[in-house]
Amino acid sequence: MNYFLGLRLDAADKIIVDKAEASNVKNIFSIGDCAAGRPELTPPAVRAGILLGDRLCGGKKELMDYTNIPTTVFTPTEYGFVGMSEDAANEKFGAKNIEVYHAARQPLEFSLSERCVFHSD
Amino acid sequence: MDVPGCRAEDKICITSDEIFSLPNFPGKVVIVGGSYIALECAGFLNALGCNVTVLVRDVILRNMDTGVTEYLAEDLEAKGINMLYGWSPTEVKRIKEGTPQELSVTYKETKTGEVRTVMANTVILAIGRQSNAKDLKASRIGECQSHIFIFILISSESSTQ
Repeated sequence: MNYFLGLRLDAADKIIVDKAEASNVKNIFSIGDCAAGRPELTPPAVRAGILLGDRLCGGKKELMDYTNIPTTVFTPTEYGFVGMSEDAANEKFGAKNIEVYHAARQPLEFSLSERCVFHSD
Repeated sequence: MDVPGCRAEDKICITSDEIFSLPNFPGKVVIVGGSYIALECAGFLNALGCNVTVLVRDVILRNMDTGVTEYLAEDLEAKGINMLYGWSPTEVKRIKEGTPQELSVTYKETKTGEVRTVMANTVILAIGRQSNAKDLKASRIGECQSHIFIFILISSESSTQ
């Protein structure tokens, strides 16, 4: 018996869900990487799962808030960010309506070992 | 990835999942992709002493701040990583079995059509994840008869698309 579940998928085969993580099949929910339009990040998936469990079994109402999720890229110079990117802000508000500041600093611990994260140009 | 030698069934290329359980030092490494996984692997493998080449088809770190990503790319190059933009693999072949194995990696510059072949010991595909949700069948998860059935899949199929 191989029944397909009848899940509605997007072009990338991800499961289409609403803001309560529900698919088009009433007893199937999807969170994390396989849900369409969701960030491929572990902590938001964990959080979404906890909230979903609370809604299904705990009588709670709180929905997962997917805005402003911070993340980090662990390249040799680590890069962390949250919110809108400069490119997205330029597109939304126009470059002339935005002020951009760049600041660079060394982690304090590096001053002891005289390590350097910033290469010279 | 639908390129000879890069398909999952070819069992030649690896993903970031296998990089931590290799039987040997990765040696000369070619990484395919411009994702954060690709650049993170490039960074730490280079720091461990591997010779690392990254094949970026288009841009690195899509949807992130271009000003910062350009800086990160310059930083990786300054540390000795060979960043190649506009190049995609066309074939990966196993020349010699063993630990380390020897692979021949052929890649092509999209704009000019120039083709190069290099030797490598490890090829890592870091081109994103592919959902396998379309293969889900009811017989595999108890026919979904229970009133509340929560289906949770944090990570779908590995990145060998």
